[in-house]
Amino acid sequence: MARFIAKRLLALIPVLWGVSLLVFLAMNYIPGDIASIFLGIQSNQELLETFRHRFGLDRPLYVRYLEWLVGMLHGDFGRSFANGVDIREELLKRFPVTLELTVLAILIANLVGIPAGIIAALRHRTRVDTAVSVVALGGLSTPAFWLGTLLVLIFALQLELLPSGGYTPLTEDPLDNLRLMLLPALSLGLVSGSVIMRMTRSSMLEVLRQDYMTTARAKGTPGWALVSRHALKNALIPVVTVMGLEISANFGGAVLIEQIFLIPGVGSLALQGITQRDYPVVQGTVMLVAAFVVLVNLATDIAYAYLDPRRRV
Amino acid sequence: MSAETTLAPSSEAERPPGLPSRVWQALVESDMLHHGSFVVGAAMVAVVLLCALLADVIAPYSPFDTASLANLQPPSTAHWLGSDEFGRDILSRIIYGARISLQVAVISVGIGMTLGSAIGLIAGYYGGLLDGVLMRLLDVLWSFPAILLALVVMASLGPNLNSAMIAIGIIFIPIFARVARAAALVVVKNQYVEAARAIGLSDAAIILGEVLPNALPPILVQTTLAISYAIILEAALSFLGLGAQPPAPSWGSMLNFGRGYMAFAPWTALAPGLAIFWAVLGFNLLGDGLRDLLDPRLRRVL
Repeated sequence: MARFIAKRLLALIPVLWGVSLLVFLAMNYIPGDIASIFLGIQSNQELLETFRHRFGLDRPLYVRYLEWLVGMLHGDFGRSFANGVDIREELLKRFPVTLELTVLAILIANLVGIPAGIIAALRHRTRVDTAVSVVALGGLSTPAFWLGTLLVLIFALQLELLPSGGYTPLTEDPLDNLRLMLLPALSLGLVSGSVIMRMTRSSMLEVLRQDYMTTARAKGTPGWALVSRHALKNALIPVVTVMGLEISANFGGAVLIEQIFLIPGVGSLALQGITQRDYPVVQGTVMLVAAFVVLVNLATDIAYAYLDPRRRV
Repeated sequence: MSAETTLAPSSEAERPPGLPSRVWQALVESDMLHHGSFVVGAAMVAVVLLCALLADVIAPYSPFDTASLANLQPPSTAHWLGSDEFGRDILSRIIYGARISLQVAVISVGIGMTLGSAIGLIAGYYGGLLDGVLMRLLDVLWSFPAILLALVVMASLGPNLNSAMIAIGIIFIPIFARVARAAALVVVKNQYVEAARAIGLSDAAIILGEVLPNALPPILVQTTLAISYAIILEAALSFLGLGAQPPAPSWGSMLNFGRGYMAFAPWTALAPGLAIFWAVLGFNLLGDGLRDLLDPRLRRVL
């Protein structure tokens, strides 16, 4: 098991390095000059030269790349073009916010999706199954940003039950924080929940067909024990994979929800950087998100290998 | 999940007038009408397609006709879905919006499917070091959440429709590569490849003649599902102000602008959202139905 983890950890390094190359090239090898794009084409030459010199843009590409890469390894993500803010500080402030949103979303997704999937599988080929499956398909066909808009319309504007945006840190006021995070987390969570529900259902159906289930039934195992002791553990294994994918997708895709609900997370920072052409910011946020996704994938792989010994390759 | 409803007509059932009897007979004998999801999905997709193709004919107004005195009107006989903040007819903008969504979806998925399948087939067929290297490279793309990858590419190429298509296309490359590679591995494991090589067929001929046909069904299913995802991505990008620029009637940007008027003119946000939902649901149903039809083994479980 330890060897498995070690091998997987080693495999992370080339991937993260590839990501750093990709994002650096995308940001710096663009058509057009960074200085004039950021400052506007009307700027005079002197201003452009000062800008270029200040941010070291007059040096060769590979020098700038190496400098950035080495800086990151030491924890220095550079400073924003726009307001000179230390990017690392900004990321440290915003990471917990998006993380909380992602965690809440996946909690909702599991609470909704897994029981629904199990029930649908146990009631296969009945109306319950069809109903749940239809709802799930509808759920995953709904864009999260539209669901967010709808939720704001219903709960914030019409019923005036919940606020329509903003953020209070968890440490300041947990109750207010959760109140503000409920609708955003629901927007992401219900969509992920639909995906998880479908996976749980099909996985459960697959498990229920197995010979060992027939044996257990023949031995006289009562219904609930059949499900919980024999079927559930095995059925949930593929669900873990889907969960990992949904966590990664929600962390990166939270940018839209953060826009709608005015949540100061990593996603909105990335978007800000992109619209303002603030390349160091974009580079920093993308590396953070990529690192998160890669680690989540690793955790998923490890969890899978732990649950299913056949996978410890 | 496909409800095996008996939507299939028995041969005594009424043949829709105008449909040639041979076609009707073929439909009856085939399994296609048996599967609710395929039929419903195909119907929904057909509606979207018709809107896109016949927009000039069926839209009551031009999507750009402003009428500042008639702005933010609720749905009425003059404007079935109401009017937006510039007095433009929402129904017409939704119909024309189908064009943008489908255009972006089809082209981007086309890019992803061609490049991705090619890479996957080659990686699966040759295996070994080439396979390892290609898959590592794709892992780099894979570790970007889709939206973020699209944003990075758009930041590089500029916020317009063309870069949106390229960005979304790039997102789909790893997905199709995996599907194609898995299918290629199945064929390679069997003896078709050895036999074909023994006869003296070139690698290219084998890949195109033996491996590709095997890979087509899963690639086809993946294509429909990818189109539905591409529609969401395009809407997301326009929602953020990247992608199709106003006054182009993109569903995503309509939704974004409609958000500002939700308190007193909710139809401006509801209509485009429903349009996106309809299109995505249609393609998802179609993809699900296709998958059930093309893989009998899965039919029993799903």
